[in-house]
Amino acid sequence: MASELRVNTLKDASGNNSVAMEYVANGSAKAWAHFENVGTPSISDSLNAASLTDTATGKCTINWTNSFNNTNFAATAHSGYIGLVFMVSSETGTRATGSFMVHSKNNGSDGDNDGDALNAILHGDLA
Amino acid sequence: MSEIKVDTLTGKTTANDITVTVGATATQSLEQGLAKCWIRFNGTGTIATDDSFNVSGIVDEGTGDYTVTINNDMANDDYAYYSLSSRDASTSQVGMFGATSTSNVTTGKFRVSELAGTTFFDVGVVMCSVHGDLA
Repeated sequence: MASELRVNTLKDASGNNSVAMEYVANGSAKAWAHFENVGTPSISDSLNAASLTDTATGKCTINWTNSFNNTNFAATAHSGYIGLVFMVSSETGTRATGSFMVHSKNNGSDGDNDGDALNAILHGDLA
Repeated sequence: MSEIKVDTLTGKTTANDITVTVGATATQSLEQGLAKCWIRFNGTGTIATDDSFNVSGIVDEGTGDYTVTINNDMANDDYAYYSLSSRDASTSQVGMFGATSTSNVTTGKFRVSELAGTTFFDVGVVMCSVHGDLA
């Protein structure tokens, strides 16, 4: 049987560096992914990412293993290499508890473009 | 109120696997959810770190181009890193980009740049964070 501790606050042995479990739970990223959307989309490393769907050129959707409690999560995304793409947030109406769409566009123009070495991170509440 | 005083938390079954309840019923790995590195620095003039965690230094690679050196290395170069900047250099600024090539992202460093098209901009505030596995 797995051991379990129920505690409100963690401190170091000297009684310093206190952190309430509220901050451990709420401050931890609930999902992150390093992924590619060039050719066959793939996830190199992740937390809570189940799969990647190529939605359209410059658009891909990360599907989560454990869904979020609501769509009010905070997300940031980052592209890999200079000159290729930059990331914009998912489009209005596409936010969902079980997935997150990222959109990559050309640097210096408005065209959509697939990118590699893409990153995304989400904070919020899991269901 | 319960309180634990401890210097190190280690998983009982697997050293780096501690489960924490993060939702009404959802649980996840404590270790995987924690940022392994973060920094805020001034990218203008003589660049300088304002505050950081697990960063050993920053390198000015040229206008709007910076390398962050990780103190305790990551386990591999598949980690996820993010950056955000202030928009104080030009209204033409687009935002922060990642490394110029795969060689600029290693277990011990990553590179970020502020540019629009092919024009780089020094910016007053650069903020970065890293998630993944430490070595």
